[in-house]
Amino acid sequence: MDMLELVLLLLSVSVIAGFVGAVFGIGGGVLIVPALTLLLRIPVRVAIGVSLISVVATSAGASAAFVRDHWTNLRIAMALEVATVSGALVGAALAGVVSPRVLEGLFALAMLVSAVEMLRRHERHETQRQCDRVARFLRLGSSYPSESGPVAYGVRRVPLGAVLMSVAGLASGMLGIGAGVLKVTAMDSVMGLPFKVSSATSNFMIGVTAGAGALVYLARGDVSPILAGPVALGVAGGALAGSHMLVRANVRLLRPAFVVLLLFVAVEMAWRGLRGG
Amino acid sequence: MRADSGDSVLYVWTPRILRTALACGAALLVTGLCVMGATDPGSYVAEYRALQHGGPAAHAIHVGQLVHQVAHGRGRALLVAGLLVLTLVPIGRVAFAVVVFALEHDWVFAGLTSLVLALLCVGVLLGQIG
Repeated sequence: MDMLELVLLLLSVSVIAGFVGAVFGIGGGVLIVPALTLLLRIPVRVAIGVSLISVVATSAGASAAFVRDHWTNLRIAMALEVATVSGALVGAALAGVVSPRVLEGLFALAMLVSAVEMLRRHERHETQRQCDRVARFLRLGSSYPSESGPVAYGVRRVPLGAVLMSVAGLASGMLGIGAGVLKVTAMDSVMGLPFKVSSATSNFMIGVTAGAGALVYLARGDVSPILAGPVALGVAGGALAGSHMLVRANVRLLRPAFVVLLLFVAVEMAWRGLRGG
Repeated sequence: MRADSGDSVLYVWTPRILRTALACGAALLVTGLCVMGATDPGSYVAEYRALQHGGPAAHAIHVGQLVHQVAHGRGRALLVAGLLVLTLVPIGRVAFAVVVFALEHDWVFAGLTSLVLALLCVGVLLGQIG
């Protein structure tokens, strides 16, 4: 295989991972790590480093429009980033010492959580208006745009949200994923934010969380530039196309099939971890 | 929240920072791949094969050396520079937020964002130790 064929192969795999991840709202990282390890036989630690860079690129591209349109709550994002970045640093440091078999097993678990969360995902339609004491002090309450004008919403249980965010950061730094599923759940179910605000704010935070992990991997020499270059371009491009498709397509019908695929890959990763690569 | 002028500045400028840095990083990556393809495609394939067999992913980055190699149009150095720009995107926007909050005398958020910035710097140190 020559260089052109290799680059095209990496681009194709990454575009598909980014596209499918965006369409189903779980991000490209959950798919690109198993694609690199299971299909292209790249060691899991290298795949995680590569994935983190692609997650940063995807977040930067996808979150810009949400921030401009005021869907993202910047104050919540910046307050909770202290927790996610701390978690990501611990996760990335741990990934350097934990055996690849453990990483593969944990990755299978993360895929399982994503699959379960996809099945039970639902949007709450009532909007909470009141802020609790901590949220009032930090002035976290805001509004989101709607056809009938801005709709105000409140925020609650910030400390508990921060604890869950540190777990999301740990998963991100350790496994090379955005951990958006955990972040959205923390903001939507625990802090009472509207679903789309949670989703947009999570997307924005993912960049810094994955960036923190990526810095550790880069400084440690665990990011291969020849892989990360085409993969970052492919995943970000695929995610951009996927997010446009998401607006038009009804993906609910495809969701069960995708969950089955996630479970299958999770079993493959777990099996690989058990038998040692 | 949207009435605060500092927050308004962030809502306008943060997307611009993200998009500009992403475009610069992507341009460097594409250029790096093209230059490598034109000048040294064999080393790309060899490095990929070595990776599959547990070879090292990368070497430590020395900024001075990197700048010198980018200036000389080395493909691999352009790729590394592109990855660095992409990784530094979120750090740039956190640093921008620190300045905006400080100018607005919003000391709680200036403190929180400074802490995030400090943690990101710890990340570089952690990687060098590990």
